[in-house]
Amino acid sequence: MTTDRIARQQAPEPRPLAVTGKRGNIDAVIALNAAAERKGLRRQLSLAQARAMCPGLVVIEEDPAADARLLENVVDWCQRYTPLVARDAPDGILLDITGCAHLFGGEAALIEDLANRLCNFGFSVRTGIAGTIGAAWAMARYAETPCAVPGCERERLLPLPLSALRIDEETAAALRRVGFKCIGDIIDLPRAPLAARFGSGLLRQLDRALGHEHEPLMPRLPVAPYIVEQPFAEPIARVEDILQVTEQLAQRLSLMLERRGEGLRRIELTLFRTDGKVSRIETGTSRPIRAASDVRALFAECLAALADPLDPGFGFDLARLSVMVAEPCPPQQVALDADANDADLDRLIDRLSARLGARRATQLLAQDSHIPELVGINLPAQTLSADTDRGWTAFRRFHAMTELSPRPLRLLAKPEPIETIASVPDGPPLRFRWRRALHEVIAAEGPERIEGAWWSDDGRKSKENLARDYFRVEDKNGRRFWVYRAGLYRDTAAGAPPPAWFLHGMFA
Amino acid sequence: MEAAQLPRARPLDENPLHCCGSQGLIPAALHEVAAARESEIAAATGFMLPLVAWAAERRAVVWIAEDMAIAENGAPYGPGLDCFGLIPEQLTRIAVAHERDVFWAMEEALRCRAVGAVIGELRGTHGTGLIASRRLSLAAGHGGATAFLLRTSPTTEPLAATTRWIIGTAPSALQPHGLGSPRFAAQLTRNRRGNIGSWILEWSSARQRFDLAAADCQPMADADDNRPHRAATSA
Repeated sequence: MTTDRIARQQAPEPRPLAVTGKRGNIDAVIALNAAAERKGLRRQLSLAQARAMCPGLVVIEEDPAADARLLENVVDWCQRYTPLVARDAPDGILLDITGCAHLFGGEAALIEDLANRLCNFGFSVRTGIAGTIGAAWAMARYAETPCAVPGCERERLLPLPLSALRIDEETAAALRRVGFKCIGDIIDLPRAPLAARFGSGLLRQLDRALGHEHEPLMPRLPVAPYIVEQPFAEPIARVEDILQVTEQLAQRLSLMLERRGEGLRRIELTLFRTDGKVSRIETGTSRPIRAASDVRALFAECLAALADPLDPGFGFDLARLSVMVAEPCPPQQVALDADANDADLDRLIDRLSARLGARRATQLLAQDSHIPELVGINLPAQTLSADTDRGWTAFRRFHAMTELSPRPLRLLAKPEPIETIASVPDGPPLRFRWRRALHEVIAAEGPERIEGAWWSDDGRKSKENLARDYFRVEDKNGRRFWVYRAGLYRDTAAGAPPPAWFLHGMFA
Repeated sequence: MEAAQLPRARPLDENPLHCCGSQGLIPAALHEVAAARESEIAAATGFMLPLVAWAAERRAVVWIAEDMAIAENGAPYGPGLDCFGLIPEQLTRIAVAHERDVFWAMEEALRCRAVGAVIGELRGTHGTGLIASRRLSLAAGHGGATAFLLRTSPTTEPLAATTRWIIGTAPSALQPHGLGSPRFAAQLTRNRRGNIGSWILEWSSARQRFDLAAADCQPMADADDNRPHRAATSA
């Protein structure tokens, strides 16, 4: 695959090509193209040997990150066959096609279609189908014909070399040394001595290949509970067409969801481009929805907001809509005179979130904290439902009880340092300079002392945890600010730096 | 068209701007509120919020602001909103990166039936443009929500707003100790439905209403140091 990646970027030229990388202390050949293999080169050769055997060899340094990226892209592309696709690093892909093969005309037809398409993309492909991951892995790499009839994995594995068991090279070499050449040689041996001598890994791989031990497939992407898709005979490219198809797919989805009494919270639109590129657009909603028109509206915003517009290239030949998160959504009766206010607001929030990003539509929550910047926090509005307790009722009750001084209308994200002159060390400032403007303080109120989080680990040592004395001050124009002094003057005697002043908020 | 959309009458003495004129605040229209100076943005906000709360009644309020505006002016602070009649639960905040998104989001929000008032906070001094503001004004008229444009500094650009306000601070009445109720120097520079004028208003958070400030307050004109060009000409 590594050489395919490089060849795909260059002009097709059948020159011997080798990719090298450091293995231990030598530059070793780790991948070859067909032309180089014809010259007699093999993997594991040192670079010097390879150059000697084939003077015209083109040598390229390995790039594992690029290989991994490419593999991931191909894995994503393979999702058109089945949602259960896993990476088998460094150069393999595992597909669980259980229940999917008939959609493509049977297993053989599926594998032929897959191999053909990948070949067209410029990859050399070997394929194998079997009832277990281990057997399919062995078929793809070592067998003459790729298909195994379910149930005859054992017969097909017998003649294959031991490396086909996915065991490390050391164990394989040790087995060869005692005369075992193929899987058939060890398959019926007594297990205990085999495990004692070659480790339990060998037996486990054997069991997995034969299906005695279950081996889970770890799909690269989470599998969606609902998937609908639409292939196109003629690729589509226009945004309006994509939206139209999305709505049609959403209609099918909505029937499925309705039958199970669920609604979707997160949904993904996957577009497969004819040349293999896969685009994914994901969006969420603030309450479970089913209506196809809503889904279309959401994706209309998403497509409009894409930073790099969707590049259709030669068009998309498959569109898929997958519900990533579904939640129960019992059918509701709508009253004739219903205002449907909450639903309306949620729809607006969904649309704005789809266009601008889910974190950009927020609502205020009151937190149980005495530190001013922690009292009101912003949470994404989509995560809050209409009946979530925002905490303000409790906050208001607390506020009325304790008779705290008024709070500012606007709070700066980060308190800004100000230069102040105060008449007495612990008193309010007489004048201060903020953003290069001088403010004469006419009236002041305070201090209100807010202690830091003295119970936290770094206690008083950290700057953020100093006690703050807040003052409300009004300058001679009537502007009002919330300023505070961090730290106490009496600590200065103990060697602490003199307290600094900050402006934290503004009153009307 | 706007006349056909006249909302149902609400008692005039509940209107927050009752003391400023015969009509008070006109709902389902576009209003611009600009701070006289950048440092007085909190005053402009404080003047606007009672109007927002009144216009929204119990419906949702959507506050759309540019990132830059929030970074410079500070974010609306939940515990402080109550004093001006806006309940934090009502508020949904939208942060946008560009000015054009502010107008788009405002228009979307104005079309939503659940929304009672929409605030668009802009930092740029360049104008809104007649077309964008006309669209907002129409959307407000159709949807029944009231739109507010909150600006950091006043502009003279033409704007299809029903009213344009320039809000500055005014020194509060002297108290034996502490600060008095906030006062605003409110200037109505444009009004399509009535008279223009300027007032010194005092907000009483206990009574939740604006009153004309007592006559003994200080003069409305700015001190010279804040108007360098005037100071230069008079010198």
